[in-house]
Amino acid sequence: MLKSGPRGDPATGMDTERRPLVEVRSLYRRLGAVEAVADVSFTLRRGEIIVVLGENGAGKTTLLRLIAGLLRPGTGSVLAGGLRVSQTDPMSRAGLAFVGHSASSYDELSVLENVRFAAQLRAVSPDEPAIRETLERVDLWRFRSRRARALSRGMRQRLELAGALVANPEVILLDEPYNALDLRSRVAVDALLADRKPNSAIIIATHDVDHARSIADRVLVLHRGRLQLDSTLESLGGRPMREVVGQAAAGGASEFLSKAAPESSSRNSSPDTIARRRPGWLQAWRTLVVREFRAELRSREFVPAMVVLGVLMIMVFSLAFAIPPEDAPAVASGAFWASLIFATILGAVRGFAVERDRGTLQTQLLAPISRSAIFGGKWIVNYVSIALVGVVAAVVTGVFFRIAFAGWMTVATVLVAAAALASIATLYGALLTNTRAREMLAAVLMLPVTMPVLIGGVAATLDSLSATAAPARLPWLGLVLAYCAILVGLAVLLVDYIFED
Amino acid sequence: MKTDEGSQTRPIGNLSLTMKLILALTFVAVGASVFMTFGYAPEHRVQGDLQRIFYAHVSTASVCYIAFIIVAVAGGMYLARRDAKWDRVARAATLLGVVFTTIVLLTGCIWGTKVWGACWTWDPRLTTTLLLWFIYVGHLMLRGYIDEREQKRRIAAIIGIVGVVVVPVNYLSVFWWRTLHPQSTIIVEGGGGLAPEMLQTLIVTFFAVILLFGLLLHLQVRLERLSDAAEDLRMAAFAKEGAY
Repeated sequence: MLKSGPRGDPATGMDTERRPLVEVRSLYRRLGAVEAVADVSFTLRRGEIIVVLGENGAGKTTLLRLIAGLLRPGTGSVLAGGLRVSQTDPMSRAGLAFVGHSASSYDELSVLENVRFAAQLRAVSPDEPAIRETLERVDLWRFRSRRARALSRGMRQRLELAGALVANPEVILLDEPYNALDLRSRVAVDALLADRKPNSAIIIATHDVDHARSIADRVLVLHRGRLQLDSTLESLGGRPMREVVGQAAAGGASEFLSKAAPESSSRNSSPDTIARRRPGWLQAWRTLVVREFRAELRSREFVPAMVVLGVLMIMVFSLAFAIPPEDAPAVASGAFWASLIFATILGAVRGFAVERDRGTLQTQLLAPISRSAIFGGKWIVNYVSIALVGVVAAVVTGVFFRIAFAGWMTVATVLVAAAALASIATLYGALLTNTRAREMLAAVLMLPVTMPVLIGGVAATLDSLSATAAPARLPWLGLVLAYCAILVGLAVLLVDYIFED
Repeated sequence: MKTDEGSQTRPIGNLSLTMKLILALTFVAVGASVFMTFGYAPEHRVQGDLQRIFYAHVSTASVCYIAFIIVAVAGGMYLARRDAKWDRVARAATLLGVVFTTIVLLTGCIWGTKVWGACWTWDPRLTTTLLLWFIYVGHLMLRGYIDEREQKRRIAAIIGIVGVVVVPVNYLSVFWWRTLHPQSTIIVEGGGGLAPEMLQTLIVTFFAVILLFGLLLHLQVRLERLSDAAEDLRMAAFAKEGAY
């Protein structure tokens, strides 16, 4: 299932009649105390390669992340193919590619699976020859079944590149792509870029000033977030690159800035458009969920720890209290639900955090899929894990407390309550990825919010254990369901704000 | 930045005329409420003088809900407009909400010790209030764990909205719980049985607490504005040094 955006004539080479492919307009973004990018404007045509130079902290990475839509501009905007790049409009990210200098491929997946994942998120079918071709171009086809974990740094960097380029993007943003590459790989990457050049606009941030000369059509120099130089390579003449950059950083190259300042593109002329494809929601969700389960099956990172933790907690409760047999059902219900909630908080909340730490969340945020697909994919995985922990813990509770605990009613309650718990874990997990001491903070913030589940769960379980009239349990399930619906509704309303950066 | 930031270090000196009037009105209302609580309202037949804590307790409790609704609305406004003003309102309302909820819990505890013979019981209203307290204490803590200012504001706004939605569900759930287990039903207030003098005292106290809350909120928002201005200055100085 495909959705297609507007597409003009496939332009090849420079096309001066139309508006440039990329228009950066007065971009401004502050990061903490720092003006990371301040009032940067430039344009870029199809067939051009721009190299962005500047010292550490000059704002190169921030600029690229802003253009890619990974960061939200404070003010100003980026137009790619005439469409404003935005975090809330998935289609605006289609046709754009960004490779950062941190890893964004999944350790547990093989080379081929990683590229297929990136391809599917961009509506490229996993069987298309483009996948094999791209992998061959970066010399990784012969390593296609090797796990990404086992790749060298240079191979990993080429894998990132393959993932980004597999869907034929027309705007390519590369942040220090040559960092870990040996000479042979550099040549391969340059050849790949030369191939893509006629049909794409390419921006490369690098420290390698000499290499810049060999590939660039234009050079930008940033200093403390401000654009100090925007000049074509010819107009720089034969001056050594290092000298130009040093002079620009010192603020002495303004003559080049005014000369090459953004062309006065008439708003009336038609924009150079991008072929845009994005997957339908079902395909996006399926891709995300399949990836999650495959990774969990291989790494066994979360679910076993959650199960063991849940069972341990039940043991702790049953050892902590001296329980008269007639009180066993009451204590068992309480112990069971408290354990499930603790296991949820400690386990499921890590889903997004780990992806953020490993840089893989970026792959999903860059793809032309909606934020709710990312949320929904994680929700499904959290739901299945919590439900699984719940069922195992229910059986163990019955054994430890010597009562018939894991009846069908308890299991039904667990299946309903897991939905509410998954909503809480996913919502807070996504919100707290960037906080310090997030495991502790998550517990402090989430425990009060899980109380309706605890109260409803305990009451429903107790009712089923004490064999009162059946209808008495239904309001409790209703309460938990309604609560779950409210949380999911909130998440849908707030999802664009949750993932904002 | 406004030019009169400096003079705002005086908490009351440069209040607008309206705020001065509200300040005066608050003094009158609080005075009247104290007088009515202790000198006008009749002594409770069973609970004696201790029942007089009821007026402040109930009024403060209602204001807590207002505070937390303000947190959520201001959070929503912040997300929509990205104006730091709304974040300052949310911050001020969170702090005051926690302070007022603490007062409710403490006065309730004093009252309960005498009347129920227990400082605490898991009555629906008590449970909900305590959960509210925990939700917003966590909310106050949250900002200390996030470094970047815009992120801090955005995440706090979302959590403020989620928090206020949890409240009615919590209330419902605990209410159902107790309804299904009627052995521990405790009726905290019965509006029907209130003597007219008591009702009048309650109304006056309610208005006094509302005015007090409004005034404190206004002052706290000004304080937050100063603290934002101070952070702006710190950041500007830091940026001048160069970041890296």
